[in-house]
Amino acid sequence: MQPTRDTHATLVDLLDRVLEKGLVLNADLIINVAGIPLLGVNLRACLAGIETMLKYGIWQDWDEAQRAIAAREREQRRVEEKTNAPELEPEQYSLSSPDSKIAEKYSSKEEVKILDER
Amino acid sequence: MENLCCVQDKGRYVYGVSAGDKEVRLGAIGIGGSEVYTIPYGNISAIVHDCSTEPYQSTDNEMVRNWVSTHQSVLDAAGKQFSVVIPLGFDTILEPRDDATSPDQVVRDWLRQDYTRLREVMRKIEGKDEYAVQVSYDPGLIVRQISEQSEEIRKIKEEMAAKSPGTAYMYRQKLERVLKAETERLADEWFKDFYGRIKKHTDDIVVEKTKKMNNGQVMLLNLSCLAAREKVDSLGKELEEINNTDGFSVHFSGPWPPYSFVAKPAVTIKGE
Repeated sequence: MQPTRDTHATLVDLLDRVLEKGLVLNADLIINVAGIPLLGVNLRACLAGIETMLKYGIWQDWDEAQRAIAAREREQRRVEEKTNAPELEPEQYSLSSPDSKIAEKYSSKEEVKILDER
Repeated sequence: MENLCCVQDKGRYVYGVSAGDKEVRLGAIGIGGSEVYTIPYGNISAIVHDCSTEPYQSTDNEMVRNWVSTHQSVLDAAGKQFSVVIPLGFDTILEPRDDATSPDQVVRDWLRQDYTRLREVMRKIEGKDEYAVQVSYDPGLIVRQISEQSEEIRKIKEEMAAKSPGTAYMYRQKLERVLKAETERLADEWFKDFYGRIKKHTDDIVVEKTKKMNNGQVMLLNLSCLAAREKVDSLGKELEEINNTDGFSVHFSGPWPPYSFVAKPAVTIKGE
């Protein structure tokens, strides 16, 4: 089996990487928008085949929640550098309660299991 | 980019960091047709184009897609030219914080301050590429297999056939519970098996979140693999075997720049 770089077949792989990964620079040096790329979120949503989530408005909420968390984390990191404050609790990553029913519906068991493996 | 306000050409969009001590021009291959070139410090160089100090933003999917593809194609071009390239994420733009510092100087200062870490990352990734590997299964086929093999399920089905519709409903629920538990147990086993088999052929591996798939398949394993070029054939063979297993399919893409293996936490410069 040969790896592919076919543009159509690998677009999600590409976006996952270019928009979310790569070397991280010190925030002092770079221009940023609340610390995370807000670009292409809708594009990713469409490509990942989760239009349904968009229909329920869940993706936008999730995106906003993620941004808020990222901002808080960045803040936290700054504080940590000085005080060694404790890390964010994992539950802060979960969706806010009104969405939890929908979130449950859309999160597969497999996801949870694989995370446990980490 | 005349639609962007702010200071023109005061920003440096950074695609990556390569080995190399010379200023090299890669041509007008950058985002929006911009000239891509390198800014060296010692024996490492930042791959950049000049831009305004505004990030690239758009709600136009096609435009974003083009930007992202261009970011990647610049790194592809750089990968052919230099022995090793550390990829940066999209929209990393450096800007001077005061008028006395030139934008190029900001880039050089960063390379100087981050030098040790950058060389360390280069050592780790040199001669290696990233591959995306996703293994998914067909839940229908798996359920059929389980149903055929499990004695417990055969019994429930037999009993169910003899019951009234009301009671059969309860049996159906029980059946579903058993099927689900069995699928989960098997998924655990498959995960460990495939992960172990794939890991052998890599130099480093990151377990990514699985995704919902829109083709009825269930993603079991989503991995980013760092592999030396000479290992790719054996990795491909292993994946071929998994792909040939009934009910499983493998997505194998790459080579990518090692995006998933360079993202160590940023070091603090200037002690905030």
